[in-house]
Amino acid sequence: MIKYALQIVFRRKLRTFLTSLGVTISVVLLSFIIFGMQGLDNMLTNEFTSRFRPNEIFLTQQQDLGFLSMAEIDENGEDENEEEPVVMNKEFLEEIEAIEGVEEARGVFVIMNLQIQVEEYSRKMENAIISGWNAYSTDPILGEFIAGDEVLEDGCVYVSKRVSSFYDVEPTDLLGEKVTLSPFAGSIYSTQTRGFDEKEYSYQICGVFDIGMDRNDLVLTANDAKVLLADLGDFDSGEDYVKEIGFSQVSITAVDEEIVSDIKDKIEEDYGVLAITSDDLLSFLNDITSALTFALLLFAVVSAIVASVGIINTMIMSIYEQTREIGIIKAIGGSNLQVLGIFLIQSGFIGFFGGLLGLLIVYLGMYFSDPYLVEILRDNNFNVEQFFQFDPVLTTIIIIASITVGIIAGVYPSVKAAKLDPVKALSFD
Amino acid sequence: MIKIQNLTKKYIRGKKNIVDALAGFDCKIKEGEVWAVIGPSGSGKSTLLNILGGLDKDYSGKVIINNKDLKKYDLNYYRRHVVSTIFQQFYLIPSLTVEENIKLPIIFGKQKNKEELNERLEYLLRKVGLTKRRKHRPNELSGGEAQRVAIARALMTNPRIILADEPTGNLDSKTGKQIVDLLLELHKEEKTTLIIVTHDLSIGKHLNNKIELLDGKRKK
Repeated sequence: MIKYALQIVFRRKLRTFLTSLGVTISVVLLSFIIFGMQGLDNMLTNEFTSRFRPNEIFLTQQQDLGFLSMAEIDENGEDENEEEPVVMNKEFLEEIEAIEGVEEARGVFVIMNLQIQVEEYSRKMENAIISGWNAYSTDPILGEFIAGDEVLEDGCVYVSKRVSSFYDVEPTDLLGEKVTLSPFAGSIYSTQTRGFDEKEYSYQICGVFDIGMDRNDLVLTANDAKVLLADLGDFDSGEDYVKEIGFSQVSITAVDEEIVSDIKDKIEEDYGVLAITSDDLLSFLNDITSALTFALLLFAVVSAIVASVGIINTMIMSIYEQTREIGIIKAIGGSNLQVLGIFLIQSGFIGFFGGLLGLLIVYLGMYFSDPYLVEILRDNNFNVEQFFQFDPVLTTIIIIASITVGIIAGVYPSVKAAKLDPVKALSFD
Repeated sequence: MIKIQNLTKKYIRGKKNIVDALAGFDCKIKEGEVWAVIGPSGSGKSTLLNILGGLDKDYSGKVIINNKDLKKYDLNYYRRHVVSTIFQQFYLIPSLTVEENIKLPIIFGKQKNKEELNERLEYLLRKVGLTKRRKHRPNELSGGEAQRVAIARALMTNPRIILADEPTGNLDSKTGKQIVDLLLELHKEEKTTLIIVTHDLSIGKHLNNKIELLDGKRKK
């Protein structure tokens, strides 16, 4: 029966091919969305997991990251749950370190509105993003450490590859150079006073790192950072600054990744600060890619509906052409179910052929475009070997889905064919 | 044994126009007999054959086939294994070859031993003289050859009753005679009950058992 049904399909090769094209277009659209989003998801996940260790927690004030903090903003634009923020100062760090399971807590300063100038060169890198913490070369947050001292000492800084690119030199050429930080008057965030932009702070470049797409242009020690911030903010001393303003963020290392969520819960409950773990970031990332995939899949669904209409139309045409054959089949003992089966096999095959052709186009497209895509991503500092990845499970699912679309589209015409009266079918002209 | 009692079939054409295709038809046919059903166009011959062939189940009266009411048969089984119909227009599947057309009823029935099927196919091809034309398609055959394929297809499942609806209607008189001779020869060999519907009186002359139909009734 299958052979007979397929013979009918192959009898009208051009029509079968053209009808299958509808399914092919849907499959191409669907596959590129699925494989593309999967590639994007993998790439971003790899980027995150290479920077954030699963036993790390970052603390920040709730208002710093609205999208993760679930802040409830009232009609006046104020957070309804807003409480007096905890100052993440030295005492706070000591309390955090005293929590069971915390191995280390490091205060991090984030300094904006400064510009960087390497002494050798006249150009100034404006609006630099500078952080201050006790960094070391194997710190995953630095991405790839290219060269330099293993531990960052006071008076020394690490600079990112972005700085060497800005000056158009090799990263290692900057090692040992003197770098000066000064306030950047052009920032939209700055409210400058006379004489403010004359302040300058000089350090020696002791290391260079490649942080990829992230922005962290220069790293100072926590000590140097607080001295700089105290001077900029007119505080008596760095300690005075930390006591009053506190660290911008705190990086916590837990002894074990199993207890990370317990520590996070405790800190959020006791101090009201936002604790972000690598799981939070990954799940946030996952939510974004899932929502995007879902939205894009709607296009593919619309396309699949159009393809189904094409199959229905072809199958109805086919019934008119095969009416007498249906009568013959019934006259020689073919049951309604068998006639139904013959037509469902035909429509299922159209779906299968369309799906197979679509996948072939997708795989060829992926095979030839992947090297170019990887090159573009690498140029943008993403560490990827391969963007699109062959997934046999998804491939099987797509083929099954194509056959299912074909079969579903064929149900109405097949039922119509099965119900034909044999006497009327035989006398049909 | 075929026993028909008070068989009535009405066609409704339009709101008030009811046509009696068969109006209280009776007959009794013993197993292995050959009968000719003759009559002019519109006398109900084809309607009778459609009912006997299990194609039309919308009738009143009783049709007993091998001591069982036709309405109690599974009509798919009945059409596969009890009865086979040969049509005036041959009704072959154009995309299938001669041997594929002959084997077609097997596809829809219970699969038999492949060896037995091939033996049966070879035997029938030999009998209808189409062994060398087995790979040809219907559009490459003459009318007589196409009807011989239809005869072989009808016999493929070893049915006990063969119904032939105007089997010579589309053929010239010489070919028509050959087809009737072939049907009679196979009837003898296979010991089937054969009912030939025809308006060709010359065919009727060869057969002893005749049913003459006129306006849906048996002519006395």
